[in-house]
Amino acid sequence: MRRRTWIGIAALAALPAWGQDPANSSTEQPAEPSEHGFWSTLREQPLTGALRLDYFRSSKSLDDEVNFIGGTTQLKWLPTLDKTLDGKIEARLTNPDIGDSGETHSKLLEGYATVHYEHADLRLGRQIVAWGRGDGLNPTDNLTPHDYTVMLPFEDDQRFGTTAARLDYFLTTAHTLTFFTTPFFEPSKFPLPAGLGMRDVRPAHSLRNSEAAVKLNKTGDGVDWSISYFHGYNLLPEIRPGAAGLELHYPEIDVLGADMARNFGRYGMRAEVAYFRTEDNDGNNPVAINPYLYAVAGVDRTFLDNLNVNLQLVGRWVQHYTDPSDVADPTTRFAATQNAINLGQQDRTSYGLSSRVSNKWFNDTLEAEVLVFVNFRRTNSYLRPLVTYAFTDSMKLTVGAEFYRGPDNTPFGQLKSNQGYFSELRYSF
Amino acid sequence: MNRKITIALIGLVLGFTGAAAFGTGPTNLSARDVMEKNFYVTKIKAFKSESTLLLINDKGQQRERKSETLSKLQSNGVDSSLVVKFLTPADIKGTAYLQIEHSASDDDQWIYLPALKKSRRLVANNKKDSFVGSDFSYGDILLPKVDAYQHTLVRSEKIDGQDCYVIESTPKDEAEKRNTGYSKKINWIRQDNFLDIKVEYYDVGGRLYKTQTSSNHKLIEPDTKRWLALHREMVNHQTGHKTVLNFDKIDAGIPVADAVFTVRSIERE
Repeated sequence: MRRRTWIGIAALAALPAWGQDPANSSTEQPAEPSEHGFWSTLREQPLTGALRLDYFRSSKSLDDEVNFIGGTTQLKWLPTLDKTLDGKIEARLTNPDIGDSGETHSKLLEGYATVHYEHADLRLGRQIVAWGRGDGLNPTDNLTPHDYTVMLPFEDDQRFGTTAARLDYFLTTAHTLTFFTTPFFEPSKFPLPAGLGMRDVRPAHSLRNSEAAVKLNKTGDGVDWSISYFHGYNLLPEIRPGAAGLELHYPEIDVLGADMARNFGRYGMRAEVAYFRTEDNDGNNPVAINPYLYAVAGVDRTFLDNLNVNLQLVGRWVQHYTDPSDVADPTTRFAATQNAINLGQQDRTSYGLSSRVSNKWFNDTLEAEVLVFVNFRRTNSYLRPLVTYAFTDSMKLTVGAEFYRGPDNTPFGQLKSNQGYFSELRYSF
Repeated sequence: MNRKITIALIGLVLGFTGAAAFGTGPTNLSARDVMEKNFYVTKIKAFKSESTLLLINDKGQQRERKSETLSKLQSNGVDSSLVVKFLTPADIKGTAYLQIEHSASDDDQWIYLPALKKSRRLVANNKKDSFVGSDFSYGDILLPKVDAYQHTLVRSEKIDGQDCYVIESTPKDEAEKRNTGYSKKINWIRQDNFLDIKVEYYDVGGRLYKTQTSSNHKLIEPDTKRWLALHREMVNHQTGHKTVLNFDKIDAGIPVADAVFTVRSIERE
């Protein structure tokens, strides 16, 4: 698949400049002709990146491994051929356990080309598409995956792209219609109980299995909103009993979503909601996720100079709910229970709260935030304090910790073996 | 003949009274008039600039941010639209800020952070928040509406060789005071072109908070007499931190499409 991405980028790079008016150019002037030719133009675009040295007390997998010293090189290149054609290549080379002969992994996070038409942008290649206006919790964000096992400190580090085509059609300066499609489904990576030897059964990469999404987005005049529809596969797997043992199955889903952001005086309000139609629409299959409604709504406000407080309420309502503990067969019961924990279907209704409190001092050289998620129904929680100090523009130190609380059979409680502190020294160039 | 004399006399009288009403000399302008002229003197139809922000702490350690700015006056001739994209340093490259001013309501503001892959609407009333760690606040980037403050002419004095009006401006209501974090501003406004040379900002406790000075004033639009200070310094007296803003390159009078001032534009890394 990676090879396909590069071929796609190369093919696009070979296209002529399309002869379009550069509608999205910074001015209405025509594109400037290149004085130095194609390769010189590309060479003029600087490569940026970061060298990162990390320490994690615990792994992000469900094991008892501790003390990891990791090294990461992350490179980003934003080649611009002219005002109608540009692209992005961002890759990461990481060894999460240098001190204990860990393996080095490389990952192309994004690699795409974007063609800018007068009223549209077409992006082809491996890309991250992030939807939703909630803070950290996004019911409508189902297009591209996360790696929840990556041993790097920031939420953004978990994202990686899927090879896809995306067309943004700009109906007006305020309204955008987005189309997205990919035949290359790629799931999220999630810590699963070790030693179960589950077979990963992913949808084959084929046109027949293509995912598709459409979104109408509006920005400006005091309120931003969007409505969206997605047909594809759940990024997190269900565990299903198969002929040769347990399998990881990625159910088909249809998601109808909406979000909005609006300010009321000094308060910024955000809300996001999605209804998920699943393969088990009648709730008959105990190991399959049922249709559900997932909503997030909250406000943020800045106090004093830089103290930002962001609070969100989170709710889920499961249709045709059945208690997984009622399942008679032990294997099926195990799968149903684990799915209910991982996919938020332990109860017919569940509520929670997310809170992000952040502050900056000394002209943004010192930043701190505390992120909290709490599920009220079966009391379990996640707490992540994080402090970053910038010695210079290039050198930053981050120190943080992750704490999980709750019974072992709850979403956060089951991750208690992953808690611990971490730090990162980062040099950006 | 008599008719011509009558018309000439009427013209003379009208011309005289008109001159008196609109003021021919500096002393005839009210404090509000001066601040209104100060507001409009930087309202350039459209420009593109490259600038450098130097953030200098009390020990003299320096950080640098280079950015590209596009600004355009909206069709009402009062409100501006503004896009700022950061080019360096590497860890904030691609970060972009969009502001659409609205006279009659809160401004629209968004910030695009490349790591998040999406734009985020900002709360426009948080005018006192620091702009990317500098000593300029979001409220300092575009001048506030003239009538958000009450203005009093304190005196006239010469500063940096320029005759200036010295005008004290106080927020008209508690909300403006709370949102900007300023209880008072003292402005030194050039009498010849109405550009500010110096502004002192006082915090809500009445203590001197920041001082902004400007120099290297350039006439950008000769026909409409629009000016821009190519060098600005903001000193925070309470922390000893200082921010220097230099416009390294300015292109004015260029056509700038409305599509530039959209979320689409700032999301283009």
